[in-house]
Amino acid sequence: MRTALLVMLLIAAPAAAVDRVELRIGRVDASGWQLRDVAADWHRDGRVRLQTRAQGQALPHPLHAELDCVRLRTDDGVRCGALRLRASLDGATLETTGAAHVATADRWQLTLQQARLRLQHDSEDGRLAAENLQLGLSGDIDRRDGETRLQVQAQSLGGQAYVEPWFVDLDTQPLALEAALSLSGTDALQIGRLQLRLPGAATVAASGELRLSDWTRRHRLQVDVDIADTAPLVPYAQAALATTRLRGLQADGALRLAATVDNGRLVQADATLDDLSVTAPDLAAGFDGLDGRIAWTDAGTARASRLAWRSGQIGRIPVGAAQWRFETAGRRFALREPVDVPLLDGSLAIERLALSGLGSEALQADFAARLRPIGLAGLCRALGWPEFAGTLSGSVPGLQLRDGRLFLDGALSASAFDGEIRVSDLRIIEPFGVLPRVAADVHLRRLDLAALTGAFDFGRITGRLDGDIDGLRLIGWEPVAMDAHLYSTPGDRSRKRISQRAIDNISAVGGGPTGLLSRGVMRFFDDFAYRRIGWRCVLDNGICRMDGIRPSDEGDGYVLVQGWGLPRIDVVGYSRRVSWPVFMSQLRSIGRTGPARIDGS
Amino acid sequence: MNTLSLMRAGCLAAIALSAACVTINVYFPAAAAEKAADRIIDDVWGDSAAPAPGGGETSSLTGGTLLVAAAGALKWTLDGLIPAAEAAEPNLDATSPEITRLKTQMERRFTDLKPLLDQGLVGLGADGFVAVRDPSAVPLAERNRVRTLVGNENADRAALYREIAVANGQPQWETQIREVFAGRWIAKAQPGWWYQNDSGAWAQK
Repeated sequence: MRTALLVMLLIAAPAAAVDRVELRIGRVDASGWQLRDVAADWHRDGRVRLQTRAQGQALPHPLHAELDCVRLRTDDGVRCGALRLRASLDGATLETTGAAHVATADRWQLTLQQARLRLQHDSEDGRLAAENLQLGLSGDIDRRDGETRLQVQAQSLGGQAYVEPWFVDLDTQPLALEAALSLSGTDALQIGRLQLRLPGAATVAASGELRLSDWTRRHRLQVDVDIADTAPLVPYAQAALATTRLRGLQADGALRLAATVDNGRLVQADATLDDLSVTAPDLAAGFDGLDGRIAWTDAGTARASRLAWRSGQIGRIPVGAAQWRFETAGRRFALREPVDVPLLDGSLAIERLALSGLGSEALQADFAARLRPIGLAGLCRALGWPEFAGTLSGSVPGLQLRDGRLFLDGALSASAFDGEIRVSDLRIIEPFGVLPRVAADVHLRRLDLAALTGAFDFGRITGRLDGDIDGLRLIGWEPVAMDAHLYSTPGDRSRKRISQRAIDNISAVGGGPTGLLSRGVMRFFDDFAYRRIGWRCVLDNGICRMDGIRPSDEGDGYVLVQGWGLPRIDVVGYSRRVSWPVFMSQLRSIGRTGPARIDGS
Repeated sequence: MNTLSLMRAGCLAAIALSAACVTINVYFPAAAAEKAADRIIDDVWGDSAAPAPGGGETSSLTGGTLLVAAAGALKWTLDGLIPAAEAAEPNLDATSPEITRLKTQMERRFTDLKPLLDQGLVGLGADGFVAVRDPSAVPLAERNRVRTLVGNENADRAALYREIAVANGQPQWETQIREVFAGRWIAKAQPGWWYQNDSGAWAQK
């Protein structure tokens, strides 16, 4: 409508042999369109200038446009060479030179050369913003046979953009874009090729089709991401993961992703990893030399996936090379063959692992694994504990997730100090929440105290020790709650002796005097016989409520060591409420320096 | 013989009923919750917490019965049976290792959050959480950092309200605890900080 009117005027003008026509129209209304302040200026030599403000139903804001044609020919429609266009819409400004040819309203062509697009935008919720974002563009737009084709190359010239959660500073991280699109009618957009390049880091390519009127819900897209070097992209990955347990993720290597998205739904995704190293500091886990291909599909037949690593680290424990063969589809994951994950000198042999309801509350697991014996010496070294001999093994025949808790069936047992340590009812509370906790019950049976006290440099005690640590709860591997009870193994007939130093240490830890026994006649005895040892600590809220074998005969103390024979030594504790951090620091200082001594006598 | 067994049955019934009444009448200790909230806020905000106007005052929640008590006819008999202290001065325990840990995390984060509260970029919501007041006012380069701080703070706050309820063995108190906190965060806010009033509009202290 608008074009027809102007073309008519412009064609009519030369016929009358006029030198210049200047035309101002206040308002032009067409169906769905309105032009205001139209100014057209025609010169006999073919120069034309056109200015207007347009408002249309399809436009969210008024469009200002200024068009200059240096050479205008009207023999075959309207042909405008050496075109200069300046258009602005809200915060977007386009300035370009080029050429245009309008044969009919449905057959036209526009060539852009050295176009410059500036964007200044901030969405109301602040999740999408551009600040002085500048793009250099060149390309063709061609309308023919009811189809509009667009071929365009663009590169960033500077500015900043924020697309939640990503901030891109285009001054330091340039982007290049190439697009080949075609629009049939006014709605169906075919994306022949859409490629976004971050030079030196990654290429994102997309193809497919979408409906412009409802593009968030009606589309089918194939997206390929080729990351040759993950390092420059780490800040972007960290931004996306900043509120998850994967925050602070580091990655180095190559990664390819291919995804098919159908009407807002991911239907297929493949990831290929090539010598990738990943570290997640919050989970204290990292893997090196990750290789493999993970093929996921939303529905239908699951395809084979493979993932291998050269080495890794979980907490402070080194993990050896392992290869996983599995399939994953929808919310399901299943191992295709058993996996052996080397841990120190042993391994975790996973015989069965099938998960369903992944990423939902209804996570179900079918899991069976065995811990092949791990040397305790190496484990203690890795954990920075005093070294002692023995092995750790166990089996976990199953696991369940209920109410945000991960329950491990079965038990882990360690044979150490010639006795047995058994960890059962192991649970991980809110493993993916803000405060992951580990809870378990621990039972000690017939530990050889001589070996135990030797390992911890506590002073020598002989005999056997049992223990029940119920309701143990750990936050960040520190015990925060438990009901611990350590006591001489009932019915133990082995020789029970306790050294002066051990008595001193028990006394010191309890805040009592040290060195009493190194004075007087007692100094002639290196150790003493005892009948029973017993200690109880109910830890809650940083306070350990202590108790012993029984109340003391005098005062309101409790007996920790009940002596036997002559000379008979009883160790009695009086502090009932002890600060756990203070208690632990006292225990640690014993390991380092040995007990305090009182000289003389 | 008969009278004796009848009396015995009556006694048993009275004991059973009084026991039932004690477990039914679980009042949400609003005043205690306010005091507990104030202590936690003082720990998290340190010296930045303003002296609490109206601290310790009981809110409209006081005495709200969570589970409906026994019928009126029974009540007077049972009132006589229950030791007065059991229902009159309910306590709220806001200490557990989980609460301590969450408090420490929030206290550490407050160093980063305080400048945003001072500048008015982040405000205190009426729902007990924090919110970005005007997203467009945040410089682009800072937007994700602010979003992350707010997201992580709110995750900790949600966990804190839940853990306080759990520490008291009353998980259903979570919402009321959050409501009490919402009021106390705002009451203890520094002058100049922004908060959401009851109608959801932002106002400055």
